Amino acid sequence: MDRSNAFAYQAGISLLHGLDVRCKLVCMALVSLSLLKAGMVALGGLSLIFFCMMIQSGLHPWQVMKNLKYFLVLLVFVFISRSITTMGDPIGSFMGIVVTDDGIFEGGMVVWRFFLVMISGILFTVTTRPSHVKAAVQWFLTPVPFVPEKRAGVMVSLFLRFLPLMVYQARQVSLAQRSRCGHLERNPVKRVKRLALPLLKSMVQTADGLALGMTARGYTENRTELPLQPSGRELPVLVFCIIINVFLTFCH
Amino acid sequence: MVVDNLSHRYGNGTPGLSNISFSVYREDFIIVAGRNGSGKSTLFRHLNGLQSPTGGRIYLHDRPLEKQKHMALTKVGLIFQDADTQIVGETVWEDVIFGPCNLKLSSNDIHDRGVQALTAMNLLHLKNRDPSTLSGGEKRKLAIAGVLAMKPEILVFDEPFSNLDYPGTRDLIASVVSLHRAGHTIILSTHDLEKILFYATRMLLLSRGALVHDDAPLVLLKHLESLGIREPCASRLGMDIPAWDGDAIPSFSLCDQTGPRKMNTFTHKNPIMEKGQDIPLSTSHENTIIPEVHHG
Repeated sequence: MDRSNAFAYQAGISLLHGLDVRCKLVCMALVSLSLLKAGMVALGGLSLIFFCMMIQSGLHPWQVMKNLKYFLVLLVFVFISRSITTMGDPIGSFMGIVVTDDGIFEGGMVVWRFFLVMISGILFTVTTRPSHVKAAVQWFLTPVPFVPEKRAGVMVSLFLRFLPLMVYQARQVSLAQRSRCGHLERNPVKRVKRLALPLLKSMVQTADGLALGMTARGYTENRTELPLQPSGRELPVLVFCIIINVFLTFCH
Repeated sequence: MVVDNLSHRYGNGTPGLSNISFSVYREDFIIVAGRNGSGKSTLFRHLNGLQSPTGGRIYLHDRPLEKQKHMALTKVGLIFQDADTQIVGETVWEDVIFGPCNLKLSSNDIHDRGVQALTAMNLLHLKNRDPSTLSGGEKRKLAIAGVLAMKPEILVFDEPFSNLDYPGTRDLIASVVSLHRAGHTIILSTHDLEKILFYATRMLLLSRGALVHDDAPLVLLKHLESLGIREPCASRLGMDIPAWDGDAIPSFSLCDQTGPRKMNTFTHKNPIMEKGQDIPLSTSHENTIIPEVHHG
C-alpha cells in the first residue's frame, strides 16, 4: 500500500520520532492553545520552527501541501467569510458585499493559526506510532474515573490507523472512476455520492476484516502492554516548548 | 479435532454448511477444495470458534469447542486469504507479538515467541519494517509468523496461494511443508491443487456447503472436475503427481498409488460419542445428494 501521505506514521530517527509520545502530546496541546492568542511575529517564528521540524522529520513541505489541498479549500472559505464579516475600513465591494482591511487581516491570521495547528497535528501523526498513541491515551486516562481507558486507547489507535487507509482508498476509488471518465461529471453532488458510497463500503469491509483478524488472534482489552520508552530528551524539549509558549502568548 | 455434523445458516436463513463431519489427526495434511461459495472459508472460521455453528459441534482434545473458545483461538491458527486483513501491527515485530500480548504473557516470553516465530519464517531481518512495504509472499509469511507466535497445534490456511507470484508461492510451499514436518497439523484450502497435492495426506471436497468426499488425494483426482475443481495436469496425462516446486523433498510419497481407486466409505470410533456408536468419517458416496445451498 502506498502510504506516501501526511496522515500516516513514517519511520525515522528524527528528534520527534525519538520523543516520548506523552511529551509530544503535552507540547502539542500547549502550542495549540497558545496559538489562539499569537500575533504575527509569533506565528512567523513558529512557522519557521515547524518548517525546520518537517525537514528534520523527513517530511517534504510539498507533500504536506498536496495532502492538505481539501483543507486549504476550507481555509479559503474561512478567509473569505472573515474578510466580509469583520467590521473595518472598506477596501472594495461586490454586489453589496463589502470587504474590509481589518477583515482581510483577521482572516489571514485565523487561517494562519488553523494551518499551524494542522501542521502540528501532522508532525505528531507522522512521527508517532498509533500503538504509542494508544498507550499514551491509556496512561493519561487511567486516573480519570468512569472512563474505560483501554477502550478509548484502542479507538484512538484504530482511528489513526484508518485515517491513512481512508485517504488511500479514496484515491483508489477516485482513480477507478477517473479511468471510466468519472471526472467528466460536473455535478459536485453526484461526484461526492459516487466517491462516498464505494469508499464507505470498502471502509466497512476493511474494518470488519480487521476486527475478524484481531479476534482470530485472541484480542482482549486486558493484554500485556509494552511500556513506553522515553528517549531522555523529554525534559529539555518540554522546557523549550514552555519558552515558546510564553513567546507565543506575549509576543503580539 | 472432531467435526460432528456441523451446520451453519447465515443471518438471512441461507445455509452455509450442511451436516459436515470429519476428524483431524495430529499428522494430517488436509487439502480442502471446492468451488467458490462451497463453504470453505465458513468451515475454517468454525474450526477456531470465530463463527458459531447453528447445528452440530466441534470437539478439540475431546472437549466441545464452545466451552474453550479462547483455547481454540490459540490452538487452531487461522491464516486468512487476505494477509492485509490479519496484519494489525505497524511494524513486523509489533504484528508478530500481537497474539502473545493478548495471551497476557510476560515481556520475556513475548520477546522469545516473537523471535522464534520470525526466525521460523525467516523474517527476523525485517522486524523493523512497515508491513505495508513487504511483498505479497512476505506478508503471507508474516501472517503465519503472527499465528505461530501463539504456538498453535493446527494451522488452517485459507487460499494461501492467491495473488502470489512464483517465488512467493515456492517460498510459501516450503514454509508450509516445513511446518508440517515440525509437527503442525495442516488444513489448507486452494483451487490450485497442483501446487500442494504432492504433500497432502487427505483431501476434503466441498460442494454447496456439504462435504461430498473425504479420502486420500490421489483417490479423489477423477472426482474434481465434476465439482468445479481443476484436475492437476499430470493427473490428466496419466502421470504421477510431482512436487510443484521440484526441489523440495516430499513429506511422504504418494507415488505408490497409481490411478483413482474405488471410493471408500469408512467409519471410525468417535471417543466423544456414546459407546458403540459409530459415526461416518465422511459422506463420500458417489451418489451423495448435495443439498441446494444459496450463499449470501
